[in-house]
Amino acid sequence: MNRLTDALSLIDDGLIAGAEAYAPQAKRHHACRYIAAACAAAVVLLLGWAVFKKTVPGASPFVITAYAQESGKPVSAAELTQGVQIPVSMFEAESGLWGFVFSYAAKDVREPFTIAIMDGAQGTAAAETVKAISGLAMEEGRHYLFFIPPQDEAGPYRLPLCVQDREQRTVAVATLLIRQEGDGYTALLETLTSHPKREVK
Amino acid sequence: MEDGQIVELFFARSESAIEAIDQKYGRLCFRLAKNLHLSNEDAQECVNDTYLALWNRIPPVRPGSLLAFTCRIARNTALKKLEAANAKKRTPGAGLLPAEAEALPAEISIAPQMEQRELADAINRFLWAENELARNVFLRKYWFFDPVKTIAERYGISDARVKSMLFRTRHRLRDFLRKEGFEG
Repeated sequence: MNRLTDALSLIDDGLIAGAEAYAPQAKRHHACRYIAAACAAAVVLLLGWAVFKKTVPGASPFVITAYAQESGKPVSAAELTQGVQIPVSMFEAESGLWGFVFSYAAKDVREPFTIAIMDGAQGTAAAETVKAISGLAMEEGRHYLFFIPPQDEAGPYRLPLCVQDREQRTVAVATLLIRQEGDGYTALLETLTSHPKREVK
Repeated sequence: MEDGQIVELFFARSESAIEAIDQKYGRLCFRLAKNLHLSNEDAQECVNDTYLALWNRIPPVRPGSLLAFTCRIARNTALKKLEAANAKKRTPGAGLLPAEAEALPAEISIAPQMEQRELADAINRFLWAENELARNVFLRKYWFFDPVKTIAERYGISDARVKSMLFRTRHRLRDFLRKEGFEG
């Protein structure tokens, strides 16, 4: 048997008793299933429209896609629009990690896809990468972000994103807000702006 | 009945001590054995063996925590029964524990000269320093062998969150043991 498993037999009584007695204040989000249904309906309506690209200065053509999966149904992808909540789900990466998945288009549709891990606990991009996410078919020409929420917090989670467009010499800055709604989650694109990239002189 | 009162029954050699321990911790011991995928019969045998061990040890031992003392005996009894059952099956390479339990960082090879007691002390230090929820999720999984779903329901969190917590705790434990010089 694994030596660690053996050593666990000798741990403090207090740890064992604590594990049996511990009962956190469980945050119960009362099911608001109609909210999730309303969000899903909003997504269906939005998907019928062309992506609206604002022309006012500061607006960004950068489009983020979010992914959701209901039990027994195929994965759905939906583009985030500022101020609109849409359902999202957690997916499992090959390493056993669970997180939310977002993506945006690469400059060239022929570029191989990439998956970057954003560790919510550290607030930074993690050094490790994953090559596959269970249930999700990776598309060439897309950059995927795998956001692992902080384990000690029940949410909501804020995910800041910053993407450079080297050709246009701009930086797109977005903030996503992920909340638990009933048994599921929703994501909201709080802000999305584009700034000229500052040149270091 | 309070634990102290049950211990006194053992000291008085009253058979109602067994009834009292069965009422208070019987289900817990049975569940622990069942988490190791023992049959109902074997799990009940573990529970009975646990009561016998308690009867033989108390007195002279006066446990500080009757729950921990009882569960520790039940756990060890169940693991021995599992080992015996696997040996009977004669399936070389078959894991002793359910596959999930073996996910405890086996990737850390503990230096052979490190004593089990030293390792246990290090694990104690690590666990006591952990956040309460993360610590108890870890213990429910790797000490009590609870399935992920059971842990999630117990603490009112999602299965996904349990798995993420376990992943991170395992990695922190690995790094901790490495720093403490346990890696061989």
